[in-house]
Amino acid sequence: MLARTSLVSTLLLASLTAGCSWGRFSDILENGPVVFLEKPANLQSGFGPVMQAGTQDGASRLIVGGEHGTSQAAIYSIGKGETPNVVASRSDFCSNKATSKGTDWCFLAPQVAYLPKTTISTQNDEVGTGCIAVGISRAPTEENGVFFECENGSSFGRPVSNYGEYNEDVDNALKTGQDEPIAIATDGSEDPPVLVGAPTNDLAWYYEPSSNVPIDLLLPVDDEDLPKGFGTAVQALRIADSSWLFAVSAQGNDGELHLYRADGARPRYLGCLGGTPDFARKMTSGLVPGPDTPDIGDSIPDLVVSDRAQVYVFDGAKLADLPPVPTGERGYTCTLAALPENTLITSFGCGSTPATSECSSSDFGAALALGDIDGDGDNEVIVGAPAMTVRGEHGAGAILTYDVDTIGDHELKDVRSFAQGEGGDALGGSVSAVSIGDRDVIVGGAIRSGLVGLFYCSDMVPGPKRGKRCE
Amino acid sequence: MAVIALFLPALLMVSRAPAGPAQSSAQRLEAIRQRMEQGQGLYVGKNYQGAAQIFEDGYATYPYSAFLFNAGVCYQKLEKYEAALMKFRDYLRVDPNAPDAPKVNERIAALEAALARARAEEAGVPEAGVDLDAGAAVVTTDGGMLDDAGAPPDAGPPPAMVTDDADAMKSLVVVETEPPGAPLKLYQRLSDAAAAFVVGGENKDWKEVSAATSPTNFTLAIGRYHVVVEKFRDFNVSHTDIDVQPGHVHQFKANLSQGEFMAFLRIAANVQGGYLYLDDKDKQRPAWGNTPHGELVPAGKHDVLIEAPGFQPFRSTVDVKHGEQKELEVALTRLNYGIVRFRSNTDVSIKVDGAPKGDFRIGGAPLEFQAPAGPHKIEVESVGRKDFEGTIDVPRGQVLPLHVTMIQKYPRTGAWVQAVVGTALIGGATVAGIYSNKAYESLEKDRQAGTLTDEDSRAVAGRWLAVGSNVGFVGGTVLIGLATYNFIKDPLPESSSQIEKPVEFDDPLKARPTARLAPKLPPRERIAERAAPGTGVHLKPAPVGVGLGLEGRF
Repeated sequence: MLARTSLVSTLLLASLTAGCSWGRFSDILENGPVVFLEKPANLQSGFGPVMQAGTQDGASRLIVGGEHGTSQAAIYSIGKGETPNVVASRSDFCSNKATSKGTDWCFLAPQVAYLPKTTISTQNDEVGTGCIAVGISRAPTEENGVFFECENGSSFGRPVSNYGEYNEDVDNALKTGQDEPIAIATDGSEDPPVLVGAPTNDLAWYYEPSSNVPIDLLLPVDDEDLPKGFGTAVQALRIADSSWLFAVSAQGNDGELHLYRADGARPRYLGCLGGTPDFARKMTSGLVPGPDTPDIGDSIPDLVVSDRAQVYVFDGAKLADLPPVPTGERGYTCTLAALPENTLITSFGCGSTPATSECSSSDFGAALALGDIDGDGDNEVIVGAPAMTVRGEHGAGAILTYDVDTIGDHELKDVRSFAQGEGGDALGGSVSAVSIGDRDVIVGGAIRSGLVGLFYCSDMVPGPKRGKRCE
Repeated sequence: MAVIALFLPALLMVSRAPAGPAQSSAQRLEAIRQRMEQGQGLYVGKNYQGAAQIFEDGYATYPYSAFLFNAGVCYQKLEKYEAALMKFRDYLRVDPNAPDAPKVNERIAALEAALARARAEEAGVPEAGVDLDAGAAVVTTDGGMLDDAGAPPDAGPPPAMVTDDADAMKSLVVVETEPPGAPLKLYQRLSDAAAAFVVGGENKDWKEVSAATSPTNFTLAIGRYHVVVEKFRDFNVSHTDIDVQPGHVHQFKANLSQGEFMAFLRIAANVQGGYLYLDDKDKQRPAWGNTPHGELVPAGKHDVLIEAPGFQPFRSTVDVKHGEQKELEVALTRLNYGIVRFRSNTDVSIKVDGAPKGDFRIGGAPLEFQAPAGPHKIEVESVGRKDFEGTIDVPRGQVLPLHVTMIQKYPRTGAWVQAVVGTALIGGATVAGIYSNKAYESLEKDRQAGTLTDEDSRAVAGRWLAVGSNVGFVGGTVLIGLATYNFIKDPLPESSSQIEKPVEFDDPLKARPTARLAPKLPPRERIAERAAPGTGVHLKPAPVGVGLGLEGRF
């Protein structure tokens, strides 16, 4: 009898123990600090290399695509709070379409842009909301050109620049299915201008808000050849109403950053920044020091560029105030030396931490983004280093966040990585930031593993804003 | 050829040589003595019916008149007067010259009178010729009047009934001489104060009660007698006192050439069949006899050695005088050790009080070992069988048959398998649990660091390890529990012992039974076999009793 009772008690205790020990693993993953977006099944060519954030009616949007030229793109409505919507609301942007005449190709751009709202002039001024400039394609009723697909189902195209008969090249690419990569940017406003770079033809142009007319960005001498790879990356900064600072990167030779100020349809060349290899290979813009930051705080976005080793934060207002190069003046020199004082707010390189190492070969700056991670009102600079060694895993990648408060000052505030990062993940190959309400969270793409994660926790986040995912 | 042997009864029998089973003289007398003493013992113990039966059986085998008289006394004690009368009348018929014949007649008369009275009382009327007021009357056993052959009607009252006491039993006294055939006379002492008998003397207070020729026997009551063997051939007179005890057998033998009666030595012991050696300390000769044993021995000192298996040897010296009847009662003491005769149902090893005693092999002879008398601890072991432990009480001077039944051990193979598997499961479960905990700790650490993803494979592994650990613990616990139960469970009984009643030591002097051999024919018979068949008659000693037989061959 005693033996039987003891046996039953042991079994019950073991069962209870079993129940407890299983559950804790689910509990610990629940509301974890890093949440992966679900990759749509139709995205077969990678997931994450193309990434762009936007805001629609105060709600964050995140565009994620696979390899440019072959993949489609998906859009996610992340939502506010700590329960993100990890399922794409739509994942067929930039799909090839089969027609009676063949295939209508769509080449996803390496750099896409989000337009919260725009007027489609070719469709009776229909207003497109939540439109993505996805790349080069043939619109159903328009000419070949930059293809826009909107969340509300609208789609339209804007003709590409015809400089150098680029339009014919695009036509041929669309007929043969050959990729024609472009870089697209807006200034983040609700009905923004669209800046496009076509590095294969060394072209860049822009469309004024809701306009179909491409306006080329050229050198002061019309016939002067634009630098090789002109248009590899583009960035648009809003200076004032209908006044923008356009930054066009040329990566054909050493990295060059050509600046233009456009007031309406009249762009003026401001000059070239450079001097380091691959200067301006990646760019982003936004308010880095807050508006109230002494000496540098204003409401004009700042320009953040990277090269192979460093990230540079330029005062956008001061860049916009650069005197235009007189028309007809041939030649240019890409340098930072001629910049007015304090135009370069700060620059910084990679920083090692106990978990990360091998900064020099980390591909620091392969991706850039700005986000208010700590919710203090100004943005921190988010830098991707996809080749960084993390916990001994070569090429696992990491995302480094820097805070810039004063001229010449910067501080590495946080380093994010995957807990089980494997060598070759290349986390940081793409970065972005989306708002969850009172702060932004970092979005990082491990572009070789096809993973895109939302990093809800950071050492920068103050206690009251940490939330349950950071407990 | 057929041999027909006709054995006719002997034509000449010694009148007082009763027919009995073929025995030596000493053995025969010893057998008679045992019956007589047995009956005496029952009589003294007032088991008159038992004593009577012993005496009746004794007479049937050894027709000595003493048995008849003693049986009659027993019946008289039982008031079975008719039976008593019959015995006393038979006594007088068998031994008409008995020295106490007159007294026996008186006893008979008293019994007859008592019987008549009893019958008259039953009937309620006086019998014819019976004057009840006249006291006892002489009445025949058939209830009729006594005729002139009996006591005259006016002979007076019949004699009073004899009241028999413990000494009422008569004894058999055998008198022999060497050589036989000598005349002898028997005298009875009439008074305890009588002087010693003197041959040829006046011998007042001595009365001659019988005269006979040796060998002879008398039925005598308790008392002192004197037997005189008269001059015979060239032999002088031999005489000796005889002290008769009730219910005994006394044997006297005179060696006429020495002119002295031999002494009679009887040795009895508390062990029947013990080996007696007289004047043979080294046992160079066959045993003198087996207890109880009595024989005529020369007067003088004699060394006595008594041996019996299981008993310590007894040595003593006895001194007997001429004609003395000496009885020696010996209490043999058992040996201070015993023998254990061990058997089992399988091959075993035995230890007694921790000391190995040997092995027993099934199919072989029992294992016998010696042990001091008293309790001992015995341990028996056998491969694959349950050990036996017990206590045996080794008797003194006896063999203790001991059988130990060894029961097979309940197979524990299943229990061992369960225990091993259960232990392995618990061990594996422990390891899995450790790794599960490590995985959880690692996950917790990464969660704290803000790097834990919601698809961390360590959670899956940790969860499965936790499952495996719990399953292992449950399964292992169940198996361990089952193993424990199966180790404890034992439906088979324990090995046990069966101790039989102690038996006496084997007697090495007793011949082992052999196959019956064909009787060896005497030489003349073998010659007769070879001869042609024919007829012939010749004399042959009778195989039983005394007598001659005629044998014819056809």
